[in-house]
Amino acid sequence: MTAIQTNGLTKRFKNHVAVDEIDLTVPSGSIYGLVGPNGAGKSTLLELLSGFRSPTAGSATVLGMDPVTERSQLHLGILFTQRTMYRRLSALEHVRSAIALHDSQLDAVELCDRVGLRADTVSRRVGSFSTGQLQRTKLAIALAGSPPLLLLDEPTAGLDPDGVKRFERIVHAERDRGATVVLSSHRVHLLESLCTHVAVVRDGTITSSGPIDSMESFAHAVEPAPAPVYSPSGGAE
Amino acid sequence: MMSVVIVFRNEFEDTIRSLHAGGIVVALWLLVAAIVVFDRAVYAAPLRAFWDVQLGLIILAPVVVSSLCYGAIVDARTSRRLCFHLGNGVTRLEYLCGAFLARWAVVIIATESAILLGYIIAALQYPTPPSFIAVVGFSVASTGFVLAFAGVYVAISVVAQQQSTAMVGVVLVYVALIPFVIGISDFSLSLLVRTIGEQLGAGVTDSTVQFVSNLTPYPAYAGIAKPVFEPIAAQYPRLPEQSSGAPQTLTAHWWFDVLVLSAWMVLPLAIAYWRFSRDDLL
Repeated sequence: MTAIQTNGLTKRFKNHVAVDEIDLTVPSGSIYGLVGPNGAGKSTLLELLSGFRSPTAGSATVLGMDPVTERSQLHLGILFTQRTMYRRLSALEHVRSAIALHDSQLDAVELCDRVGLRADTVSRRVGSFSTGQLQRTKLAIALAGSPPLLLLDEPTAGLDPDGVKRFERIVHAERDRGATVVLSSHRVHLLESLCTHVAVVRDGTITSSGPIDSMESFAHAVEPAPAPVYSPSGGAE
Repeated sequence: MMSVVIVFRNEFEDTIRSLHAGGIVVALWLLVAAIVVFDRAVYAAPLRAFWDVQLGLIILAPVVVSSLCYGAIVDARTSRRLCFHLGNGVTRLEYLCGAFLARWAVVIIATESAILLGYIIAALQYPTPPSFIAVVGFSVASTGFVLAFAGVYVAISVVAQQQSTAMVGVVLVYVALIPFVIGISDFSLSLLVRTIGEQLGAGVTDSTVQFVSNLTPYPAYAGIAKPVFEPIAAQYPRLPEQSSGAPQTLTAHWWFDVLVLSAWMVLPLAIAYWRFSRDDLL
């Protein structure tokens, strides 16, 4: 069983190819890590899988559905790095709305507590939140529908060590529930300890992928590609 | 349907908690109140003040509500706020409907409350208050006019990729639909229609110019509100167009004006949705 299958998935922006003919297979029930330097194409890949962007070429199947033309988002939990929330609404209002949209039976207060949002914080406007509090709120929203697939872009960005540990526990619990988790991160140690599978993304392509046991250390993956050195005459050496 | 309600609730609550919404309500209150108070010293009939309110709304209400509407969707896209709903299974159509209805709700509250305030002031100032039924009719027509502009502005916000583009679009639409149609400068809609007619070698009559003009929101609004001012039309020579004879042409029919204003409310959004449904949203 595969949760995600892409074939030649490509996204081009004017003169820049962000995702270049990616073939990706994410097994159901796995915790799949995407690792790579900034600008490698991880976020664009997740945006394509979530249906917010249409591919220039190729195709993606998410939980058996086309994410652009079908309503696959009802079965996804999505966390993006950007704010993606209403500044003047509280964390609790966001989480309640997300639960209602998924027609879920979860309790919003309990869910906020699960991600580590304190009781005195949940009623505050998210516009006044720190990065870590925003990240916890976004995680609660992603979990609101108890989705079979979580797409998490840099989910630990801005979290303190306690928040990262809590996040790891949540991901393991979600996997135990039967969910598939796809996450991108710069934190190599986090991916090594958390993921069952890893794909190294570089310059819009996947350079290596597979079960984590079969992969050699991928610490090098987060290092940016060396910048070209230019000679005084203007040509690249 | 439930999704539209949730989007509407979130967009509405986020909007009314902003300074924008409060500013719009206060601006319309001040506009209407100032006109009604000032007109008490000039005119004996309280309904006459609402005719000036109509002129004030025609000129200024589209400007006032523009700040609420031009950023409605483009801001949600650039800030990625729309990911919250779309990432939770809301369709693009449901999102657009909810966001649009939220702006409409704020516009309705602002316009209706401003005219209600005008009625209260008029009732306190004049020995005989204006007809409540007439003021209700006027408020419905006025709200329709302001909603038509809100619809166009939100549609621009849907199509624009950046806030600055949306802002420029809104200014151009305002100029094209109000000063240009009224004919404040030499270059007006009337001149444009006649010039095009001449270039095509066809004679352009006054009724043709009038027909084209009546396809825009402001003459349609004036046409819908016309019955409200019929009782005072003979008293005030400044209302000649309100007291002209029986309807002779298609555009002189009340239902035609309603149709025009309704089209301005809905058609731009339908066209904008066609684009929105195919776009990359980030």
